[in-house]
Amino acid sequence: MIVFENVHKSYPTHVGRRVILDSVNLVLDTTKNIGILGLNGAGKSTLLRLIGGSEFPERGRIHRSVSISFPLGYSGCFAGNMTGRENAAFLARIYGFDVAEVVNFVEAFADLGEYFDEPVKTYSSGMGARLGFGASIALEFDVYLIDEGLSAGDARFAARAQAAFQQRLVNSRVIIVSHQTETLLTYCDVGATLHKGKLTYYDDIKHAVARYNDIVNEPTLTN
Amino acid sequence: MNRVHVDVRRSLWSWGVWREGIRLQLRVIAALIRRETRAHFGESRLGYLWAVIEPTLHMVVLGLLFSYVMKRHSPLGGSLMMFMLTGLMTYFLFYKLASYVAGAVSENRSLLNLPPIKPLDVMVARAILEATTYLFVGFILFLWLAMTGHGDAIPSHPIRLAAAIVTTICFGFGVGLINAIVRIFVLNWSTIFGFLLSPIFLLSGIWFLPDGVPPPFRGYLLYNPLMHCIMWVRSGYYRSYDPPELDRGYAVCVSLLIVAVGLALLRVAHRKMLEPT
Repeated sequence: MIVFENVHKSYPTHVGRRVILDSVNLVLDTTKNIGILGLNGAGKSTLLRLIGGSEFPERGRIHRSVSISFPLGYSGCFAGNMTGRENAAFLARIYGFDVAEVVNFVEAFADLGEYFDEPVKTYSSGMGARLGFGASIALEFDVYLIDEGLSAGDARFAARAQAAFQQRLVNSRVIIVSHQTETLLTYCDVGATLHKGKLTYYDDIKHAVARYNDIVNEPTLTN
Repeated sequence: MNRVHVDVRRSLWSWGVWREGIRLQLRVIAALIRRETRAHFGESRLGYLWAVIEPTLHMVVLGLLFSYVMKRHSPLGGSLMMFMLTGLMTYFLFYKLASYVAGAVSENRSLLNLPPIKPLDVMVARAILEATTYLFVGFILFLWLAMTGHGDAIPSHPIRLAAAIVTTICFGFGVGLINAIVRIFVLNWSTIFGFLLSPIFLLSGIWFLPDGVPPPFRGYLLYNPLMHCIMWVRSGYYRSYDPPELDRGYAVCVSLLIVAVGLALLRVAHRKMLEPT
């Protein structure tokens, strides 16, 4: 369960504060896969950071009874002068997993060959993404957070990533934020829309998608 | 499967929750120290060696320079170099902690996106690493000076010396903590801080003893806790140096107060710190 208790979040912008969550009270059932839809700039990524706990609401609290991943494939925490192996080991230590197990998994999964023992700063962006994705899949969480697209790297890797991910979905669930309705319809059972500070929950992802399509087609009121 | 980081603030009064939380933080700090060692000291094994050589040379050069400029007998013991180094090492232990801890948060912003890592963990990890490095440097220098006949290799009052070092570390860490938070709000704070510290460097009694300073000024100088830290370190090293000006309680109280203020500020500024810039 992830419980939003009167959660308020806004950001300062040039034209005053932009409200992302306006006193949201909501329960997210983490036995289901959840898709969250919102327009560009609605604050989906911030919402994900709030759920993950890397950012805090201004008011209110978010209670979590499950372990939650960092955003899938996040590679921003890798140290450029450390090797892929060392970076994977670091994540394992931080989250308290068996280091050898995680490192072996990432080595096999990311398929970086000799580069696994080279500093991350020498990686191409595709290699970085593979390492990031491999590292997040290697760590077992109850809930994985996914921001936008699922695929990473080339087609061959994307297929493998899908397969590995399906395996995780046996025991774990996902929260995906996206504006691609097809992805959500494939993966998610329930949904929510984030629009103008309101986070609205729907028992069926189809209803969330329908509501989202209404939002998209709304005449835009620029503010 | 709940062995991963779960919100541990649910019941404050259960010992299990506390123990779990402490274990998590220790694990995180240990992992951060390993990472900092690699990231900070570079790719080669020589990297860490260089991290030791650099401050050692720094101390030796400054010590020789001061000794040369002063051209007189040491106010304490037989060796001017030893006198200089007891002051310089204490000052730089403080200074390195204060500035290095201050940069911990801004330089590790990406790590704070991982919820198990809290700003305080990053700062503590850096403090431990930096203090260890400096103590190691100090050890090498004293060994070298003792072997070349500049003084005793073993301090006269080891426990006193240890207490002085712990207090200095505490003070440096506290100032670093406050710096880290002020930095969020004041642009260029590290430059301003360096500027503010330059008179302190000259007035902390690195190259003189406070009893040589005429009365009204001596009183002012003694408000500087670093002055007390340096006197305290010397009182631990030299056999018969225990000046009446030295107020150990003052040094301890100020250090603890600074750390407490730093932690309180951190609590207030915690959310602001985690906001992406």
